[in-house]
Amino acid sequence: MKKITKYSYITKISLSNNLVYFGDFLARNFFFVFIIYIYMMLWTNIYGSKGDNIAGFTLNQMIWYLVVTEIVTLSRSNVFNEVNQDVKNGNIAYMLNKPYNYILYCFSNSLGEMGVKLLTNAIVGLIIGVLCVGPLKNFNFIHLPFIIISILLGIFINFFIHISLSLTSFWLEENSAFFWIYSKLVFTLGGMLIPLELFPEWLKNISLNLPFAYVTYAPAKLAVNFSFDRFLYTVAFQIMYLGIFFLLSMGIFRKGAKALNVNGG
Amino acid sequence: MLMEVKRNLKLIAMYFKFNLSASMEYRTSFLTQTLGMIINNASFIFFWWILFENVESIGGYGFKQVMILWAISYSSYGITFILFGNVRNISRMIVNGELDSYLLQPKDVLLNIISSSTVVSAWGDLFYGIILFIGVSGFHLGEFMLFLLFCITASLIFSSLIIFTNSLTFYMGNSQGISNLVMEFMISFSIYPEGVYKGFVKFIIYTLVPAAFVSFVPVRILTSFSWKWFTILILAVIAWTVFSYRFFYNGLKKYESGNLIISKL
Repeated sequence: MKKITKYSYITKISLSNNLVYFGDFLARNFFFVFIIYIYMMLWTNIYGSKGDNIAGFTLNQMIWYLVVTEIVTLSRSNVFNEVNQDVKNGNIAYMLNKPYNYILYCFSNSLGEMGVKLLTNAIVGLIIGVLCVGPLKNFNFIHLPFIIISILLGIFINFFIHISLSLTSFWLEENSAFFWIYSKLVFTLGGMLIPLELFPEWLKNISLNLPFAYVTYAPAKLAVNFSFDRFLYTVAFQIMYLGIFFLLSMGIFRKGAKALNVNGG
Repeated sequence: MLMEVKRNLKLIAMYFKFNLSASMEYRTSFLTQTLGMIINNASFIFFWWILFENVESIGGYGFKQVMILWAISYSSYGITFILFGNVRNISRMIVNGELDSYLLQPKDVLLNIISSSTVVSAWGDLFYGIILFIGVSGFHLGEFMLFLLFCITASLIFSSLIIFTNSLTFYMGNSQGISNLVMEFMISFSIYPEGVYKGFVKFIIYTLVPAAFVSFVPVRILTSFSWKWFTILILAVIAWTVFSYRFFYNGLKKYESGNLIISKL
């Protein structure tokens, strides 16, 4: 219990730090609005020539799908750069002897940032979605908590993949390539801008089993086409990947901390 | 007049030479950034490939036309920041009173400012555009030369717009935010098929944010050559270049030097 309180304090501090910039976060969402607007024009044109239904998605569902994937992607924390900085400037040496687990510290610290970003992105996303294509058709408010669970799991998987990649800085001087390769994998195989249903069958089957789809595609698909079966299937996969990347980040950190060599101080 | 142009071109060439050798000093970093940018941009091919697997044409464009759109946009962006890497910093330099050292030199102030630095990753954008164009169109000398010409005209329009938005700082205080936003608009508008835009947005892309002259008109000419559109394009380039050049110099009259001492080596 004491352990949980310790981490919840870290989250509380980070939350109040980030709430100071609530307005700033809202203003930064202008880009989000612009991207959704461009994609609305693009998809309106495509639906205009192709009919009301493409790969099982109506225009209304397609835009709301994009809104959800963008919410998840834009709500990531800056953990990749922060951990990189900690390792490279030797700051990590001061954190190793503190009475907390470094990975859990980073997670609790990022929770505040991710929480505020999620809130501002959700507000902007809901407004732009309603203005562009109206409310999501067949949406039931009872489903909302389940959709939020899946969105949160997507954001958390994203976090633990980011931290696993950034911890490679224990061995590598320049590891930013991992960051953009991963971002592009979420962008493409994760279905960030285009649902996996539009992929060729073979590629869809591969992508459905990779973790990237459970960061963006799975929560967005659940939001626009909810069923409890889909929820259970999606969340089971998400929890599995969350567990894998949590353990992976712990393993990399343990190994990296042993290899750590800090000069000066 | 001709001597003046020759002198200015010589200045740009000298800066290009020195900037390139400065970049090549860190050869590995140069190659990593260039290659990284190429792979980064390539992920968008995936998006369009999937889309065109499902539809035959979007806004009157096929896959090839969209790729040429991207090729021109990226190569022109590359040329802009290879030759005029400092163009994005004009606003900051005005606010900080950093123009003094340029005002004292016997060279064209604007050209001297914008050419004085380069962006290394822009080489990746330039190469990506060229590879993409040859990849989808094949290599036909005439067509390729026309493509290179359009990359140059597009980079002139692109630079002019950035000079204009940055020069607003002379009149209304820091315009860096507006400039970044307009740049974002310009890039985003120029990489989606023209037929997607309707009404007011279409008016904007031919006037205030001239994305149409960056990529849509060149693609139209490359698809089916028309002297009428070629002339309109050249006139638009001349108009934007002259306008932004004059706008900068009119604003420069309002410039107030600070007491900042800078040594320009």
